[in-house]
Amino acid sequence: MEIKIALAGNPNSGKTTLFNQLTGSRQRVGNWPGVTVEKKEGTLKGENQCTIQDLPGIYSLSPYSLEEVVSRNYLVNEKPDAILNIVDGTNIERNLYLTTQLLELGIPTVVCVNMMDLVKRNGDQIDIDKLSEKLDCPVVSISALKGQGTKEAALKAIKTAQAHQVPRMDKVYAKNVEAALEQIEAILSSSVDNGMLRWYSIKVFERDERIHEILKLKENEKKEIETIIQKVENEMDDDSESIITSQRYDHIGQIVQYAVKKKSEKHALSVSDKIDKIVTNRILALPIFIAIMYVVYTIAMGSTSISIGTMGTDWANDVLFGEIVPNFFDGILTSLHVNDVLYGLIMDGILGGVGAVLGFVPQILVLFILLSVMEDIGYMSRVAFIMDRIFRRFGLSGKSFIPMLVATGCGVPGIMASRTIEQDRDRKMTIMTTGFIPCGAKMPIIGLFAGAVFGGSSLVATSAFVIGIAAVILSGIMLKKFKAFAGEPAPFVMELPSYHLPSLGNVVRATWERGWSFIKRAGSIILLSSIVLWFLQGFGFTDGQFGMVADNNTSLLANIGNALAWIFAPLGWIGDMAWKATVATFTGLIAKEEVVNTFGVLYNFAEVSEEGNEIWTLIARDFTPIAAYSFMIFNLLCAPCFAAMGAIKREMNNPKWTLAAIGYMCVFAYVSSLIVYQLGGLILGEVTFSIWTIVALALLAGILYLLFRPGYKPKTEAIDIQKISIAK
Amino acid sequence: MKTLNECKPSQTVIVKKITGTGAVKRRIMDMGITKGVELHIRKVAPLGDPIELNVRGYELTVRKQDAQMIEVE
Amino acid sequence: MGNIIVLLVLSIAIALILRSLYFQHKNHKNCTGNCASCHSGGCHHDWEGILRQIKTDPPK
Repeated sequence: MEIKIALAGNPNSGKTTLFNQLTGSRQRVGNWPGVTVEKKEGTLKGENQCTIQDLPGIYSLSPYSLEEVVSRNYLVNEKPDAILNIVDGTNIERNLYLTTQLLELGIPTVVCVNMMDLVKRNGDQIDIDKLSEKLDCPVVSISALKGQGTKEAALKAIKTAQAHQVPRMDKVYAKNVEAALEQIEAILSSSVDNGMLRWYSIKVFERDERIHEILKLKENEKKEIETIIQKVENEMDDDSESIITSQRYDHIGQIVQYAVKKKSEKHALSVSDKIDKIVTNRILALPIFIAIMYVVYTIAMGSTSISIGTMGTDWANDVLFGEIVPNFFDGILTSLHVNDVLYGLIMDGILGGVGAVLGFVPQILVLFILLSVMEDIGYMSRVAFIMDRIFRRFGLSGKSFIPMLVATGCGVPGIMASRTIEQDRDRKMTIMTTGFIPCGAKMPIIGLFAGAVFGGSSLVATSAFVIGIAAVILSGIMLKKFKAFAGEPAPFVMELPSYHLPSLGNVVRATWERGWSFIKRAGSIILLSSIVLWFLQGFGFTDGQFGMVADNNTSLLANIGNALAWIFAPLGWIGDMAWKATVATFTGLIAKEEVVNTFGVLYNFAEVSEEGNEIWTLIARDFTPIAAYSFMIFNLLCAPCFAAMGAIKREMNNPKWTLAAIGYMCVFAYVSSLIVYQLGGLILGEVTFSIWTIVALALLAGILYLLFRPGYKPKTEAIDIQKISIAK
Repeated sequence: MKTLNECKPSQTVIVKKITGTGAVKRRIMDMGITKGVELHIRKVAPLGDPIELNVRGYELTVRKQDAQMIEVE
Repeated sequence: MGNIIVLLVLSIAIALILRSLYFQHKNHKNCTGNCASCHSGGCHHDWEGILRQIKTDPPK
């Protein structure tokens, strides 16, 4: 018999860690609330008949957020054989709130109390037996991180499922509420199956509209129920939903008092709070955040003595892909007396292109390690806390920051993480702006120009991050003034999980997954396109005759590039680099690493024998600093890769909005690059005054207008807040 | 009657009533802010908003605007 | 001779890459941990439907 177990629990309760423990599946573990947005399945290790379903981390089964509705639908409609409810022992009161709701579903449930080691270290005591007695279901203690007791918990869940041991928790609510629930149960008993009766009656009592739709009650039944509810509401002077919530917590209070002994005094400062005192300090928080980002980028991409990432990349570029690998292949190919064309294809095309991309692996790995550590420690949700006010100014909530932080790894999961944002307009705006954040694949572009043109300054790398954030902020302000986006941002009620030491496993897993997908792309799609690019740039028509060309400026690819280069001329992409930059921008749509790959192939051709694979000097010769910066900005901000565009299409689920999002990104990128090149160049004396200067000034004025115009003001919501505080 | 957004950091208060309706109210209550619970105001974020609370033994952040819905004493 | 060997190795490599890309493209339904690979085919939710189900604030 196949057994289905659903894994449910609060965000940050160690649910994903437990899921990985049980299934051995590969999945990211983070320390911000709501990292699992998708439904994930796995097979229990050693028990092929048992599938485990990972549900999103939720606090409640209310009908107000995506994750909660997803989980609720699954539990009610697909009826798993058992629920494995993971509970964070250090935060047991709030965690049990979900537990009490799960226990009402009439599904066999096993509660596993996680982080028992931490509970003990705090000097607290949780009596598992007493807890089990009160909850009327098996309770086990585990440590998901150390893998203690996890297998036993799963086996217990299987046993409970096989015995179909359904918990029955009575007398949770006050007498009059219980009486009302009984009356409702009596009315519903004909239309609902017995096991779910209590759940449905509670939901009906809460006036859950969805449940009303499912039950399709008759008018007289509805009326009867309404009178029952109103009677209780009048007695308790509160709405039915709040009565249930309050009394649920009161009941949990009693359970906790009975089963948990707390040593520490209330509101005592834990270590985590002491760290927070400094890190989220009123004055220091923002400088600390910027300093941390600067240090992260310096270590990964700077050119100081602590820049491990750059050292690795220098070694990879100069030694590994500069000498060792080319010499190795050169040896083989020479001894085989290979044809010149084939030799060029392999040495210049494939090795040049793939090598240029792979050379950045050390920088990217170091960056990913540092970001994963920040994520795993729990600093990221503090950032959301610090940034909420700024983000709210332009209409995004601190919640939008989470997709953006995910996007520093890859834009695709970043865009998908926007699903956690309930409000439609906030979500659309987050999807439109998340692509501006420099993702892992854009790092090589930054690294290439920082190294080749700007002497490895870590300011350039940090500025790329700052430009990304600035693009998000400016877009937020501008978009918010349009009618489609106007309105109050979604409420921001968020847990700040305690800091904990990063787990080596989590950091290694997260880094490895991001890094490996990068390497895999270099070995597959990048390699293929290197071959195509090499042919296109090596062949062309000379004097009407098709054949190999001596100078790739006359190649087929140059013809294509030159035909389109006029588009980008106002951005300062002129001269010999114009067609190369144009081609690189378009190949960048396949994957952003392609930009560097394309330069690798194109610049290798010119000077292969003298300086080996050193393309930096060639790029520095072709790109003036301001043109390089304009190119970098455009490629960081313009339409993302096809995979991310696909994600936008799926999340928007509307062709018009998809086009609007991608179009907006391209236009924004074009306008910013144009302004930076024309005005920046004029100030630096690299560009002369021309018609484009006027265009740039006009565009700048246009942006300023969009930023500061009054904008559309929704009438209702602004007043509502006043009403709430006045009305008593 | 005072609302939560008027409270100062490191004050400890007791929730009297939660006004308002719908999703925000339910969300606030789901996170454990119910009638009679003790709240400890931990701090205010760098730019004056949101605020950080200690409730039922964990840290929660709420915007001042939403804190207006919570009557305390 | 050398040319043929190198060409052969190269075409095998290209064939393998194309094959793996094709299978990745075909097999949407499993999660590899690389979010760019599955085009979110790994989740079977009707998100639009779920969005419709979410209770929005009643008019105040």
